[in-house]
Amino acid sequence: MKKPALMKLLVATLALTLTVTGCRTKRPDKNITPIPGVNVGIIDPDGNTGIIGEDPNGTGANSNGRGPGTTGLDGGGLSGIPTGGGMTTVPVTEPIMPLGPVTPPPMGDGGYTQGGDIDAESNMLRDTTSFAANTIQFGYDSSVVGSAEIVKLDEVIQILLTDGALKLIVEGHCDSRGTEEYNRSLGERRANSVRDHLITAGIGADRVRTITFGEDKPKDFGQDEAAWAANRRGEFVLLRPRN
Amino acid sequence: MKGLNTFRIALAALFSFGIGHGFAADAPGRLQIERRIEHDPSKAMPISITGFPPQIARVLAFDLEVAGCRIVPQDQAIYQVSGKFSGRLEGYLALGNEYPVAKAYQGADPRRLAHAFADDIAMAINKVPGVARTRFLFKNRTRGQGEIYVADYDGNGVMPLTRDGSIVAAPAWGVNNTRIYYTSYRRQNPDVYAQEYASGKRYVVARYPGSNLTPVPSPDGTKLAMVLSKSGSPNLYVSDINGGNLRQITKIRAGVSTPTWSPDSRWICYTSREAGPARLFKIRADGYGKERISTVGAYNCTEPDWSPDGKYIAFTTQRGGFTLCIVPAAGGRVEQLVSGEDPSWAPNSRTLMFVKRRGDQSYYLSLLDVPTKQVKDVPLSLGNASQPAWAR
Repeated sequence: MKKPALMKLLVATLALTLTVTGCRTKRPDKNITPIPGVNVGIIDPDGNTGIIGEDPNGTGANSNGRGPGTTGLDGGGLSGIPTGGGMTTVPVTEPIMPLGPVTPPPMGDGGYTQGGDIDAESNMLRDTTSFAANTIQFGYDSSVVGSAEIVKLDEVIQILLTDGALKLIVEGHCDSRGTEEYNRSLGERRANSVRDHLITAGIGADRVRTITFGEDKPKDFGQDEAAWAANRRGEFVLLRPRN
Repeated sequence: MKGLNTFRIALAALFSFGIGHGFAADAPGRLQIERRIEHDPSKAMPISITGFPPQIARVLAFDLEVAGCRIVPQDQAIYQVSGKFSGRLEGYLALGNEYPVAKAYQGADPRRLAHAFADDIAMAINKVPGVARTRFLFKNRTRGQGEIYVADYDGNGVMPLTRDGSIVAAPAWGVNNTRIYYTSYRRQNPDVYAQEYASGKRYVVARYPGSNLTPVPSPDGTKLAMVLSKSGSPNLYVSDINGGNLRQITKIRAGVSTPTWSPDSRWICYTSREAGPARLFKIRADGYGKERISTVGAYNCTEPDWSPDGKYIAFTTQRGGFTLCIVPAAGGRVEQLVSGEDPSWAPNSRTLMFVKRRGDQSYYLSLLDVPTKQVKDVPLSLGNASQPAWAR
């Protein structure tokens, strides 16, 4: 409000006027600003409510001449507010979803295929130690395998080339400094980047699977550069056939 | 003396009426006062709440603060909320001596009656629907795993929707909110699931080698966008809502993430690294029409969410910390909003839910009224809540 002092004066004036003349200064058929769709209720002295039907003019044609009943408000409020019966009452139902009639296509195995090779892995042994020292580290927001890391990759490549029964899972991980889904995608790009090197070196594409963990599985829970650097990694899980 | 004082008071009253209101002459000798509010819409609307028991008043206060109001004493308020509650809620919204809202509510629990009233108030003040009776999905994460939950927008009524004890990610609503879609690692691979909201029944809709991420159903309920890495890097794919008829939409070596549909289900906006830093692009669901969305003022842009009215795209930018931004859907100048990440639009295209971080591993949810930039945290009993998806 621009003129608080004058506003206070106005309120005081109104209050004074209403106090002097009584609460029922405004007659429904004269001074109430019509509010479209709102029924203004009349309460007669016996407490009966005369409910006025929807009156587009809002002039209270059925009024018995009294102003809106006011029983006052709890805790004090502006006087002269219409209360009591005759208000529009809205039944508020409990939320039920969905919204409106919907006939979606029935749920079903519409499109997923493959995955069989993932299931087949349960027949193999997971070895997370053999290549623990070969974890590939990545730069911030990068999925490039740097030259310093290539030597670790070479060891993995050699072992897989020698034993054709072995398979590999490459896990991509991130530090927590990006947003969650961006990081999940970045982790996948890191795993893909490592996989690309393996395939280029001659390892069959069906022998290497990628999986991203985004920022979900940090190696180091610290909040410093060293911890973050440790978490930006590609890890190898070797899959050996059960003998 | 007395007459002079009365005259002065009357004059002052008339004067202040003139300042705060416009006059319009109707018939000769009769004045109609038009109420004009002088209020900067970028500032919170001062509003008072009186007459209700504390439990109702608290709910109203929260709802109205989210709607861009500021609770003040009655004499400082432009709008006054009053009424009473005795099983039935009678509510009034006063603007001077007019009543934009005068209604009674019954037939539900007190909280919901209060939310219904708050929504009517929000509509009267903002001319845009309130969000007090909406719901959202989120992810609760504990070490190494997580579950999908649903809750009322104010954090009440939290219910788990998964109980797998594995990693989950990126929940989304679909098919008129009758289904949820998400990625789960419960079978040793990030696979996309479709789950019926009412029954909990679910199916795998994508279990391709590599990762199957961020499923997002189209608003018209017919298609599904996903990020799959089956081709060797994470790219955008579109299928039927059940996963059939899969088509590769982008072929970018540098990878994409986080698709979001336009409200008319024709376009998909996503983040891509093809131009160097993470930027927003859009492409039609048939794979044509790819364009970069210009984001002047934001260097990197991730996690976009297209507003239900189609006008804005909210997203996250990162420079040091994370900042929520909006940009016109056609591209242009970015408006930075508040600290935070991963925004999700409310159905009213005015409120955003987003994620804040405590330290580095603790996430929580917050609500933003975009025009006033007023922020209100969602009081969730669960720690570590992220990846909100607001039901529309």
